[in-house]
Amino acid sequence: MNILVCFKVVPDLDLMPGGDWNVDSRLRVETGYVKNIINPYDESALEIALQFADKADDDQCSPGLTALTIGDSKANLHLKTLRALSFDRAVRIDSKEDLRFRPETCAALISAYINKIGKNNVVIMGRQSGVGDNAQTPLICAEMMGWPCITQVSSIEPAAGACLRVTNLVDDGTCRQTIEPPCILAIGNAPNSYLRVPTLKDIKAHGQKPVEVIDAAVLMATGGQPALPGGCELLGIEAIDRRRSGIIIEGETAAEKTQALYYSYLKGWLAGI
Amino acid sequence: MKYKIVLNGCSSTYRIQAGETGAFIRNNLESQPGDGSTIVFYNDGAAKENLIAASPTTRLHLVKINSYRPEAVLTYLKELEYGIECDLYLFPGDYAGSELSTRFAARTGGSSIAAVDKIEPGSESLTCYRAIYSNYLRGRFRLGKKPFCLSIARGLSAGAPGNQIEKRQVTESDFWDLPENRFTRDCEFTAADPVGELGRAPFILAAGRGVKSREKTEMLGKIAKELGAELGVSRPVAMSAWAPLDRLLGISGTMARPKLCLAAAVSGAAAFYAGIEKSKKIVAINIDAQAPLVRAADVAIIDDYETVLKELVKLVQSGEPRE
Ligand SMILES: Cc1cc2nc3c(=O)[nH]c(=O)nc-3n(C[C@H](O)[C@H](O)[C@H](O)COP(=O)(O)OP(=O)(O)OC[C@H]3O[C@@H](n4cnc5c(N)ncnc54)[C@H](O)[C@@H]3O)c2cc1C
Repeated sequence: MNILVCFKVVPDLDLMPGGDWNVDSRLRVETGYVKNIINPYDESALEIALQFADKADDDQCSPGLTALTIGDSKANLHLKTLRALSFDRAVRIDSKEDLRFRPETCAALISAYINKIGKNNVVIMGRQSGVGDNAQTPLICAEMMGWPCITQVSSIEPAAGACLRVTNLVDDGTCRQTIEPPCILAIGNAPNSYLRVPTLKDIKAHGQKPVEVIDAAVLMATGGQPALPGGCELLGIEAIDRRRSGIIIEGETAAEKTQALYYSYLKGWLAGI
Repeated sequence: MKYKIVLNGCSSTYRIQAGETGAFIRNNLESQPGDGSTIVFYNDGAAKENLIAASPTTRLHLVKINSYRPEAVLTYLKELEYGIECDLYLFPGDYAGSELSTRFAARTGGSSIAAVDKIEPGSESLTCYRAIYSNYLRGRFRLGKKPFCLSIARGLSAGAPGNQIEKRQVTESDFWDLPENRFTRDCEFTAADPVGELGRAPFILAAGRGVKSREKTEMLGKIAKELGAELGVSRPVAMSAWAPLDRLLGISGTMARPKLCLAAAVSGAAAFYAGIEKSKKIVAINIDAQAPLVRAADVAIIDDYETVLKELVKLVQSGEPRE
């Protein structure tokens, strides 16, 4: 089994100082001063792939693991960490294009990588990432590859006959299914899937291994299928004002404040329930 | 604008889908009765008369299938719609709907967008609005290529069918026998309540990462019971498995609409807040006065959540019993 895990590096938007959103004339949002993180759903995808490899190792059929991202050099540190975590390949498709709202371009680049270089038969990625919030890349990728896609996946385990045992949420319950690759698995909410931290030993053993960089234009020019038409153009961005009265209850002690909260507000509100 | 609503009649969420999409059309399109129709995929498990009764449009087409598999439904939908002119395909905001909208656009050469909260039709394009940047911002987009395939944002409306239609025009087709994509070797399905306790609760106690442990989260579950509330949690709490996933509030979980929400040790990130913003009243309990939730709450206490909640239980239990 040859697994490709796709991830995106995004600014940690929860660290943006309240209401401080500067949008420039090209509709870019200034986020340069907050730290970058791996998109949370993609983080789960990476950890789930590692857990899968751990289990498959026990069954003596260890899969090949590649971590792939599209973007500029700010992803390099994360790629090195993934290398240390024993990903066999860590690849960055170098692109300076504004891909925030271009899931069809991301899907085309991923498909080109699979077809031309990776020859992977299982692709795992987060269902959505927190800048574009498009929630479309795995789906468009499945359409481009002509592969099935399972969404809202929460766990993947090895199964007999080079298959995968996949657990995923559907709208009215949970499915546990055995899948024959090739397939695309879009990770949803997956408990216990924070990415593990490499040990010093891991870093010494694998941390210095190279990160591969591929030029996006070259990849597309030499064998990529053109992106499916997207046809979705960003026209404007507005901030969402969520303020309510925000009355802060005063008091000397927690007990005093709680009493004030209860008698001035909560008692009446609870009576209305 | 000619539109079609595509619904999954195999799912117990059918009435929610019908309610949400019907409300979206009423709020966004000045449509004439002949402009729209609904396509419903259903299987043996569904009662046809209920599907028909809850349909959001007068005209509906029932499509019988073996079981709901996105790969198969997409093939049938494309076959069904081949050569038919339709400007807009509208899908519900649930998992199935957002998947189909994107993949159907890819197959028909149309344009698609997920989780839309509002649209404005133009002559050849469609302006769509949706949350971006983890719900902190909202984007305005233009879709340029027909058919426009949209899924709507979750939790936009209460979800019950809102329109009373006297007489339906029903047509049917049967794809029951067609071969299906068999990449799945076997599948066990465990049903769950699609609305869930949180979706119905009039009073929610929400716990965030600041509670710091599974034990404390369990303690908050007990406090919630004592207060007469349901426990909800933020993503870090659910991801750490301190509480089950069906307790998750926010864009990735339940979009609740309680009368009252007490949020303890939650910072109020926009992706979480979306799950409680339809609350009539919000109370924040946080040690940090700068936490975003403090401004987005009706009232806030700046103090330790455990001390405050224990005191609150005493007050509620010593007060007059609630009706
Ligand atoms: C695509 C995407 C989807 C997401 N979907 C969701 C979602 O559906 N739901 C969701 O919740 N998040 C979601 N998130 C994550 C979200 O952005 C936040 O990271 C998350 O909501 C933060 O959770 P929190 O408030 O519990 O934790 P934190 O932000 O860490 O806040 C903890 C709070 O506890 C307070 N605190 C600490 N100790 C105490 C104490 N003793 N007493 C009182 N207060 C205390 C702190 O002051 C702080 O404000 C999503 C993110 C992305 C990118």
